[in-house]
Amino acid sequence: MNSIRILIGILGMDQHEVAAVGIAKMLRDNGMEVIYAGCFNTPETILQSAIEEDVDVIGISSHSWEYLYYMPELMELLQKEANPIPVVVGGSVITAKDKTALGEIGVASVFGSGTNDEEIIGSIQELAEAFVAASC
Amino acid sequence: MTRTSRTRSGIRLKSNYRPDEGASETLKTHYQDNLGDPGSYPYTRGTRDNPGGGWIQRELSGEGDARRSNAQFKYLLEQGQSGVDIIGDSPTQSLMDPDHPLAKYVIGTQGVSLCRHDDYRELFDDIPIDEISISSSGPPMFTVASLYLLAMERGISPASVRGSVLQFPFYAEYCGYAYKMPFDLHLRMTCDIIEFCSKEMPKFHGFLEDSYFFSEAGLNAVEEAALAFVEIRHVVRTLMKRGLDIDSFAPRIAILVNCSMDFYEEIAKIRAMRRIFARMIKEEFGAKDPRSMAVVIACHTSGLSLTTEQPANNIVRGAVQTVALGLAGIQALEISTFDEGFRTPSKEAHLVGLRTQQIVDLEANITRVQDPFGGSWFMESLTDQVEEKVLAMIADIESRGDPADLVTGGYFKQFFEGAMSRYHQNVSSGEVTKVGLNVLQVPEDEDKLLRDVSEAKFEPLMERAEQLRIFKASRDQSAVRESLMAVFKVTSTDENIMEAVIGAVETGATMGEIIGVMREASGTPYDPYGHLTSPIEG
Amino acid sequence: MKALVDKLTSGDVRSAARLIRMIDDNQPAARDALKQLFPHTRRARVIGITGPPGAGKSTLTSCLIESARQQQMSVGVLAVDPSSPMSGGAILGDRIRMNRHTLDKEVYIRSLASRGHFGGITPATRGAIRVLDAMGKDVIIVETVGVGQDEVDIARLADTTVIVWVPGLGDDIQAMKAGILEVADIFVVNKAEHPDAEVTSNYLKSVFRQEKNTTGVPRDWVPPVVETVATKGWGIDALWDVLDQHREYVVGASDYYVVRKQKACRAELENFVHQGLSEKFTTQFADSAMMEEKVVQIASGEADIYAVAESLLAEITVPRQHHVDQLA
Repeated sequence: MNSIRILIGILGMDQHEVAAVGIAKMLRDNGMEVIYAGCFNTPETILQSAIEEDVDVIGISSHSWEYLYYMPELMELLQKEANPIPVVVGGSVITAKDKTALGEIGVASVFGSGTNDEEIIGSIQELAEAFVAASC
Repeated sequence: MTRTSRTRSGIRLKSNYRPDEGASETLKTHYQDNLGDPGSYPYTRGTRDNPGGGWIQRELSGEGDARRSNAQFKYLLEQGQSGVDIIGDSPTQSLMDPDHPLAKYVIGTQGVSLCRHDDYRELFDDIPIDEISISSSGPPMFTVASLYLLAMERGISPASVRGSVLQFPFYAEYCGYAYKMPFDLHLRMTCDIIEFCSKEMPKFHGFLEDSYFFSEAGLNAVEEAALAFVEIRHVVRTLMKRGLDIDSFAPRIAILVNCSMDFYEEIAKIRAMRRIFARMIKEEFGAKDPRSMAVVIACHTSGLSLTTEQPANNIVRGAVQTVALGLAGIQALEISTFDEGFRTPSKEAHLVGLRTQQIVDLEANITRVQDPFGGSWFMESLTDQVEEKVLAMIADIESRGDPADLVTGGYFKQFFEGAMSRYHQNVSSGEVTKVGLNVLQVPEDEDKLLRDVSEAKFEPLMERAEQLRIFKASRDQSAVRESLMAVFKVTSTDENIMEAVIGAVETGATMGEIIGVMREASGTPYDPYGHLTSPIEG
Repeated sequence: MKALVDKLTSGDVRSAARLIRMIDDNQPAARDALKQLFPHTRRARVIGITGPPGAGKSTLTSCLIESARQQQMSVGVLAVDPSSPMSGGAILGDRIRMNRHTLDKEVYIRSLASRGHFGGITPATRGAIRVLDAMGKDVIIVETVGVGQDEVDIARLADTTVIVWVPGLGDDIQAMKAGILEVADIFVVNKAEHPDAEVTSNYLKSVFRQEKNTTGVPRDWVPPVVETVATKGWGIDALWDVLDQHREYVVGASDYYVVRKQKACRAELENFVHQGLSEKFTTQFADSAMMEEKVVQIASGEADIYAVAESLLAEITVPRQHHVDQLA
């Protein structure tokens, strides 16, 4: 399989970028092409960037609560796509309750602060393969 | 589980220290040169001789709107807090009004929403701004402008207002407070504020160097101190190039440091920083006034040192850090509260933080003897080693070029990214021990204590956007426009910007508008996020 | 494939994005699509932007997008960054500085990793340019990190090549002079507020006067040096002016550019042929039993490696007469 392409971005005014950059580097070092969209995104800019970049997975990094408001908006936009791009969320402030809620709106994987790299990579690979298979 | 034999900045610790340590031999012979009594040059042992004086005890406040935050102040003051400290929500910290489309889900959630003079009026309602210290972690330019106006309105002299504003022109853009403006404009704002305060509000620290927030990227003590000094030195040089006398502003330079769990090194860091600062200001910048050489050190304990696992453990961490700071001698303190990993402090966490300070101060009587570590073979040796490493790092950074070029060239951005990934590696490898996170974990279903408080959420104040729109429509439009034009014009000159900013704030112009026209005057978009258009266009 | 091409030529973003991915992943179907696209290309104006890391290329690109949009032109951007030689992965972060154009329907931004191609420009970049061209973009900006060879590569792709420089890097220019000077159509000295900016500009101007080139045709265009401060939008109008001047000059069929373009076409053609031969070899022989057998024979000394290579080459090379018939 060719390189997995993943978009990583942060929504709204959350400016805790270092963790997202850290994850981006880790994924790069494991052979993925990371399109890094940085901060100050809205669900619309994330979706548009993901489409233009033809990514296999969207990763949202979050370190404040505002993603909880944006995520349902993003998932709703994605559902309108013929083959919705899978979404993963990672962050330090995600509680068990949040995790359940994210699952309910269709987020494929949620990574808390304790998640190890292998788990993140494995999950992204699996989602990317399924997405590519579905889009052929 | 390993016990490390090195400090976080890599200094090797011995199993015990003896009288023949390098520093120990000169303890007596060079006492005045290297240490000095508390309150005398080079201030290694403290900037004041004030046994039992404690420190300004405060907890970082601010949530929702100004009224709610004012209630937080009053509650904490009733509980014995001796100063107030305010932080804005993320739009406020980024100089954005709450009616900006990007702000909607985060208005008031991580601090108070402030954008106009009316907000500051409400925030400091019934707070005696000439009697207690007002510390602002919010936008420095607007805090100073509003405090100045507020003093005038209350008929008190702005010269009697005490407190501080955080300044972070070098590193802000990379560490969570994006101003989205050219670096030279940000630096100029910093210098204009300091210059203004030195003339109009001489008791107010217009320059509280904020090494806390950037060191939260995972920097060690040496890196934190070195980067703080690189920034201070550049600001000082810039101010002196304007023709300002060093003794006109240096007495009001202070540093807000971080405090991690590396107990000894944090104490050594603070002692070393006082000495470095004193010698630098005197010998390199030629200060004559002893007050210029004695730097006030305030502290905010490390949020990064806390865990979301078992939040109650964070109370212990805060207490240990407070003891370290009490031993090091500091002038003001805020503890990162036990719910830090989840939210801005809850009322419960605020009180625990304040009580922690009070217990360490009042019950343990820890500041009665000043610099109790002074003369310790170990501590003096460690202080010397930290100092040496900090000085070497400052020299190394400055040898790479003009610090301003390093900022715009992304040198520090890379530095922070590197530090963060190194820190995460050290946590995941266990090199940095975090109880409950990488060792001694408890199962999730047993981790219940204080979770309810920590995880309680409050809704963003979305209605504030509409309130602001109504407010904006109700202003004297031509006065607002004229005052914004004045800000625009003065930004294109070399004059101090503060007078025009105060004038605009007085007409009801908002922070976002004022910053927007300043950006425009320097050739960047009014709204760097591409959503708004300028009110002075055309 | 026809459906994809039809949608693409009517401007469909998803189809364009997908086809660029297929090209990037080197899928055989992509080549068919490119053949079908060919009649729809050669309309766009291609601007190459290159220079060292940290020169402000993405910020400058963002300014150019803004200017082009004010002139009612649609824009495609290809931002190429190097892949990690260790892992093959990449972090592509150029979008960040162009984020405020994301929701503009007339702007398409795509990040590409160099995927092991030294010099930044990949065969996929050429294909991607054609996709954006066929999409109907008026202007295509190709941004690459310049590390020497790229400047030459980018010139093969672009109608106008802009090299972005920053004050204080003067000495390095000497080292990469040969490559840079021949391909630079416009030099930008960005971050021109720097005290050394004037020195850098003057240096560049003096260097151009001594220029030699390898096309054998004298060049009558002296690359202008434009000073900008991209973070403040300064100098962008002046840059557009010289971009327009250069376009007129190129359209005016300068001999130099005709030769330069022919050199570029030759290089691309050779590249395709090499790639095709290599693929043919791989599919026909690489894993074949015959190949295995020959390898064993060579290793044991039974067969002559030169003779085997010759016979394999003969088998993948189609007889000349047949080829000519096909072309006719």
